[in-house]
This record gives sequence, structure tokens and C-alpha cells, in this order.
Amino acid sequence: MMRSGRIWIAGFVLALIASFVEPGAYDHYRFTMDYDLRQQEAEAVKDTIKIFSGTLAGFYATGYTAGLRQFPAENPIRRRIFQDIRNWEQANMLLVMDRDRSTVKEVRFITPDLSIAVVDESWFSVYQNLQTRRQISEKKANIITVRYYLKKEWGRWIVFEYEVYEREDKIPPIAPERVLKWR
Amino acid sequence: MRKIFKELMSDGTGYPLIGMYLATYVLLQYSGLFGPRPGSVMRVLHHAPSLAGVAALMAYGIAWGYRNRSGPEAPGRRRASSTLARLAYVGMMLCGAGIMLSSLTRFEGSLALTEGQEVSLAAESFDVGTLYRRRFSRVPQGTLVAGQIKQVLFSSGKYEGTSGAVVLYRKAGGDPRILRINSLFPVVHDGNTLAVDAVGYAPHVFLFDRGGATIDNFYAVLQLLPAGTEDMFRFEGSIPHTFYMGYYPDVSLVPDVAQRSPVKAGPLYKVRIARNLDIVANQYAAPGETVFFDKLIFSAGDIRKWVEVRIVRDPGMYLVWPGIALLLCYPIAIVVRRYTRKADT
Repeated sequence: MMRSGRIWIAGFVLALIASFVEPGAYDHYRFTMDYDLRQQEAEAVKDTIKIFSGTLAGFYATGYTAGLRQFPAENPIRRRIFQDIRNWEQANMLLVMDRDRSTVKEVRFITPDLSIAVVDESWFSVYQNLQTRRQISEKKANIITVRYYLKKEWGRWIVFEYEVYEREDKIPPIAPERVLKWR
Repeated sequence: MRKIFKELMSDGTGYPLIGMYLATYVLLQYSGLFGPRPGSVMRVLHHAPSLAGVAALMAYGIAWGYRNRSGPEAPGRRRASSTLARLAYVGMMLCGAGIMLSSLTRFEGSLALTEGQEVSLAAESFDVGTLYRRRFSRVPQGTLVAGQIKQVLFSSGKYEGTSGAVVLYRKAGGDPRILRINSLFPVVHDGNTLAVDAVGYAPHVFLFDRGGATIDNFYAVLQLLPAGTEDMFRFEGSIPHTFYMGYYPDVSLVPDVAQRSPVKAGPLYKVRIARNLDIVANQYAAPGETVFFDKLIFSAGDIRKWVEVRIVRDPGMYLVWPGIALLLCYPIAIVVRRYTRKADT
């Protein structure tokens, strides 16, 4: 009985050791078990979203690409933003967006380098004449909840997708497998 | 080391040792502690530590078989020279060989088809995120046409039934064959197993300028089940907007569950359009109804069903399945024997 018990334990221990062999397995294990590390990364994700929103508002207000290298977003997102800015420029208009409030409701990790963050955001937007900077529209409040999808590349978090909801909308659950496919 | 090996060979304890190792390794991979949960057991068995375990099991089995060539012994000291023990032994070796072959040749991929759509099978036709190919895998050949698609049955948002589809599979240079595939049991044809991964709706979406000229239109393959579930798409390259859509078919698929919108009867889309972070439209629209936003017009017309077909080509499975069947014979026979003996006494 003792011997057979030792056999089972040996099998278990060998499997445990082998589990660390796969690339990234140790990092994933450490991340799952270390609460402080997760909190640290959650703060990094929050900072990234803050930079994202701030830089985005700057792009709209100036129309310039200054700070583009630091903008933590994938190219398709950058392209969509500048496509929008150019459209307004062609119409001799400028969209000025001011972030009023931003509250991070949730930061969740699917893997150590893949995260989902849900953020309540309040923006005010107003259209101005591109030349005179004269206000040509009423100030509009945009009360939204944004679900950001972020990945860590070269030690830096970047946004690779986001979904925008009205504040009162129910945010549908998302399957981790789906996010892994998007990445 | 030699002593340990001798001991393992003397009483058959190598089997539970390697068995425990493999079972624990698979479970640990599914625990989520060492990485995202894997899609299928076969993928875990293709990991290097699993393959090492399988190789060890086969080597041990061969050595054990040679040592006990007069008749294999069951684990422990009890002699079981019955045919069943031999079958279990063959089953184990078949499973091991099958896993090894699978690790070299498995192909897995999914592709989405709307009703009536025909697709030539090639590596590019599969959704990138679903592709799983081993070194010597072969991409399935031929064409696939989606016929009638059966919806998933939901009641209060809970999964209640299976989804199925009729597909026409024509292998390269061969005759077409009608296959009825579903989400529960894969269908085998031409060396491939086909199953339904998901079904959903694909609305025909249009983008017009204010003059009414069509800028773009296509069938957007969206996950809109159960009713009201939202999914998103973009007119990539044309405009920076993101379109979020939900669909209420207002058809009772299961008794007492009419998939009706909260605002009015009849089929209805829920449309929300966001220009980057700015929501520019958020409303319900009937099929064909127009939604105005940012000097453009959006409309969703007719709706088709789509099916995501999962195709697996894995020659190793032809060894694994018979192997599992043979392995199962052993414990079943022991249980049956025990009960029949009890009944006799």
C-alpha cells in the first residue's frame, strides 16, 4: 500500500515539474499566484487607458500626430482616429473632446499579457471652425462605458480593440477563447 | 536508477506511475495555472511533456510485453493471462501510437459559411484564430456548400438543444455528398471529421451616402444568438465607425419563448454606431429601415443564417479510438465478472 502510494505521488510530482517546462508556463503560474504582481499590472493597464484617452483628446484638439509613438494603440485604431480627424478637417471643422470623468470598473487578465478593462467615461465634445476656432455646435455630453482589450508587447500595454456602450446598456459577457482568437 | 527500473519492471508499477503522470499533467493544463485553458485534450497530449510520457508508456509497454511474452500480467502480483488483459495491452499501445501519429499529422480549423455559400477548402479559407496544424498535416481538399442551417434552441438564454446544418461536401475530382452535421457528434467523411462549432445570423448590411449611392455592402457574420446578443463589425477602410448589432427575430423557436424585442413586434435590429469613442446612433430598426448618422446612411436588409464548420483531419484518431475501446473492455469486464460472481454466490 505504501509503495503504491509513493508511485501515485511520484507521478503527480513529475507532472507538476513537467508543467513548468512549456514556454511561458512559469510566468503564467507566477502571475496567477502572485496577487501583488497582478495588482501592479492592473495599475499599468489603468495608466495605459489614461494615456490612451489623454492622447486621443490631444489628437482631436490639435489634428497633429505629435505623441503618436507613445500612443498605446494598435495601427488599425490609430488609422481610424486619423481618418476621422482628416474627415473633419476636410469639412473645415475640428472636434474638441474633453474627458470629464473616467472610472475603471474592472480589470481582468486572461493571460499575463492579455487584459480586459471596463471603464465608465464621460466626455464633452464640441465642434469648432478649423480656421477661427469658433464654436459651431452645442456642447454634447457623451456618457459611455468602454470595454478595452489590451495586450502586452515588448513590456508595454497597448489597446488592440475596444467596444463602446451607452452607460445604461448591459455589457454582454465575453468568452476568453474569443479574445484569444482576436489577438 | 537501475534498481528503480528493475523494481518498476518486476511488478508492473510503471503503468500507474506513467498513467498518473499523464492524467495529472492534462488536468494541470486545464487548471489554468500554467496557461490559458487548451481547446481539446489532443492539443495537451501534443505538448512535449505529454509526448515524453506517451513515449515512456510505449517503451515500458514493449519491454513489459517482451518480459511477459508468455502472457501479460495485470498491474500488481495477480496473474491475468486472460484475453482481456492482452486486449487492454493492445489498446494501450494503439492509443500511444495514435497520439504520436496525431502529434505529427493533426489538422484543425473552422470556417464560417452563410446559407448557399460555396467555399474551396484551402489553408486561407479557414479562420486564422482556429487553425491548428502539426508539422506533416494535410489541409482537407475539395469544396463545401452550406445548405439548410438549424438554429440553436435557447430558452431564457440557456442552451437547450443542438445546432445542425446540411452541407454538401465535394472532394477534389469526386462526387458531391450531402452530410448532416451537428454540434454533438462529428461526421466522418473522406478522412475528415466535420462538426458544427456555432450557428448565427448574417445580416446583409449596406452603407450609403446621403445621395443614396451604395458605398459598401456585405453579409456580416455576427454572433447574434440568443436574441438581443450584440456583436460588432466595421466597413473596414471606408469609414472609422464601429457598428454594434443585435437581432430579435420574433419567431418562437421553443414553446413560450418568442424572441421579440422590448419595443415592438416583428423582426427588429438593434443598431448602435460609434465613431471611435463617440456614439452617433443608438436605435431599433426594422429590416430595410434606414439609420442616419454623420452624413451617411446605414441599413440592414435580409438576414441569412451562417454555420461555423469545424474540420479535423487526424489519421492518429483512427488508432486512438479503437485503442480506447479496447482499453475500456478491461474495467468493464472486471465489473461484469464481479457482479456475476456475486450473483452466483
